[in-house]
Amino acid sequence: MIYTKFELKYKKFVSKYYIILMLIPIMIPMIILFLGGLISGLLQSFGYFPLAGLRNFTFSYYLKLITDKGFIHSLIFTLQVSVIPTVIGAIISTLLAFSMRKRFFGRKLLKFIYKLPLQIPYMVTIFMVIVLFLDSGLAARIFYHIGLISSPSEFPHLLYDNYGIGIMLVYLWKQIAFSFLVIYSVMLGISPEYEEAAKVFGSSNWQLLRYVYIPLMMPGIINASLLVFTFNFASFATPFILGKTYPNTLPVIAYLSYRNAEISQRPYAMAMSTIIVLISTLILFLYIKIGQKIRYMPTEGEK
Amino acid sequence: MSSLFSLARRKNFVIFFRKAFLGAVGLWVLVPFIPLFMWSFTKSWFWPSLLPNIWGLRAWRYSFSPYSKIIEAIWITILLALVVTFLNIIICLLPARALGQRQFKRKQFIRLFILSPLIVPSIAVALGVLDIFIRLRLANTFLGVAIAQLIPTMPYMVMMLSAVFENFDIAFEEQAKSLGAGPIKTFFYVTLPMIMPGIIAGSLFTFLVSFNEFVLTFLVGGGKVITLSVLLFSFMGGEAGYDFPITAALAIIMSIPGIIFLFITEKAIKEEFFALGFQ
Repeated sequence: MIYTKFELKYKKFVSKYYIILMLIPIMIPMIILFLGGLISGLLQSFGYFPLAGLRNFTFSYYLKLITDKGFIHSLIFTLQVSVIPTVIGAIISTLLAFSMRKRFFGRKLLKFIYKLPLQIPYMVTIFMVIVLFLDSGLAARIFYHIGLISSPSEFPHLLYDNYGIGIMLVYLWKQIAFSFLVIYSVMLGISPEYEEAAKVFGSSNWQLLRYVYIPLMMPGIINASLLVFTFNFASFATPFILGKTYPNTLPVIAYLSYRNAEISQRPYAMAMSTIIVLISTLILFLYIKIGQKIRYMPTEGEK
Repeated sequence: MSSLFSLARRKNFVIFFRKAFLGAVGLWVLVPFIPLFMWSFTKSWFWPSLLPNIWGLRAWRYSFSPYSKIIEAIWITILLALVVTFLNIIICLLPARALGQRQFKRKQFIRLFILSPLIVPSIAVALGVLDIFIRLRLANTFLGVAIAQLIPTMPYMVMMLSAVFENFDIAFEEQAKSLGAGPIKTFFYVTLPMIMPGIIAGSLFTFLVSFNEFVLTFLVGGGKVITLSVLLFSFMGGEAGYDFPITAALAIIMSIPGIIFLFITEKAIKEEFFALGFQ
């Protein structure tokens, strides 16, 4: 074939920069929207906010935040509300995966049921928790019929409370499905030979779980927990609806200061959202580190 | 003999305990759906009765009446999800091909960057994006929400498409070209049918994530783009003034796509991918 000089140049250009050219369509939205959004927030958190006449870079917003009692309180509240359901969920999911390691009648159906919350939107779960645990909700009515309380006001406040119990219930309900799926798929990779060997040496079920399965499932358990923790930590809708104005989680506080009529509050909102991003990036980093370990898991026994 | 007997008893106990535990978790998942259904068929339900005092179809009649906000929100949500899915296919096709077929420097890094919106909190992204969109006059518009929703959905589309491209044999395209097909014909008659499974899987994920998305829609849409999740949120906004039956009906409607998705993916898609649809 005969090419003109221009065509040759074009072909050379395309083959030289093929990868970059191919990646352009996704890099434009990723850089402008995703990175751009994060950087614009970062700049504002350092006090660069021309709209409000602020142009000097300063750490003062971060300094003020970390010395602020309200912020520290909210941070602790956020950690508390995210860690507790993560740990409880991990324990339940590990036991579930262990209990389902052998085939039995109805295993498939059970697995389907456990997966169900994964695809139910958070918003729906929030409403379920409201219906069940409001002062006059179904749980309170059952308490009344058992004779534990005589009016709705005696029912303990589980929603809009100081401990974030309603928030944790939503998280727990949603995430057992996720942790279970991750841990279960790691468990499927564990060769049954380990169990046979352990049984030969006369180990009980408990010993089997404690000394054989948990160590082997550990990378999966940690991985699932890290992801679940990040989701909880950054979740906005759940604490916004089920929490109080104060104390509440960092994403909610950040949003409230963003929406504050005083535009000078904006850098605080952005500093908080930067801290949220930093913490989740740290966890992403841990996740990758542990994810590399997971590849060394024995896989002979898979399905 | 006696030790054997106690061993058998212990085994029975373990089996019973296991069954009870599996059943309890199953109930914990399923029981919250029951009051949801009961409320949606309630006309009035007073304290302290355990069942609705008067059953009724008011909530469902309202949901599907021509004046209902719910019907309007259903159409907006579906239209939005379709636009987002379509944009995603166009945006992700070429990058997924490069990622699936070529080896290049910093590939892992780029892959990680593209997947990072799955982990980086959308509230932080949303607050930043909102500022940019206000300047671009995209805030409070349908188009703005559609563009913003690309952020949480692109990772799924790229993952699904690049997985298909990893097993894609270029020889088929070259064959078509050598037989005289132009690039457009080659794409529509050879490439597209071959990558169809990836496009379908990616679209399913994109559609569902967009359908359920709340934070970006709420912030970028600014109350002007009312999808089902924004509507459900507004129904739950204050402590007072709940309309439980209508909210319950809306919650049930919102759960349907996810449940359909579960049935579809039960056999078709690998579990690891599936687990990522969590957010």
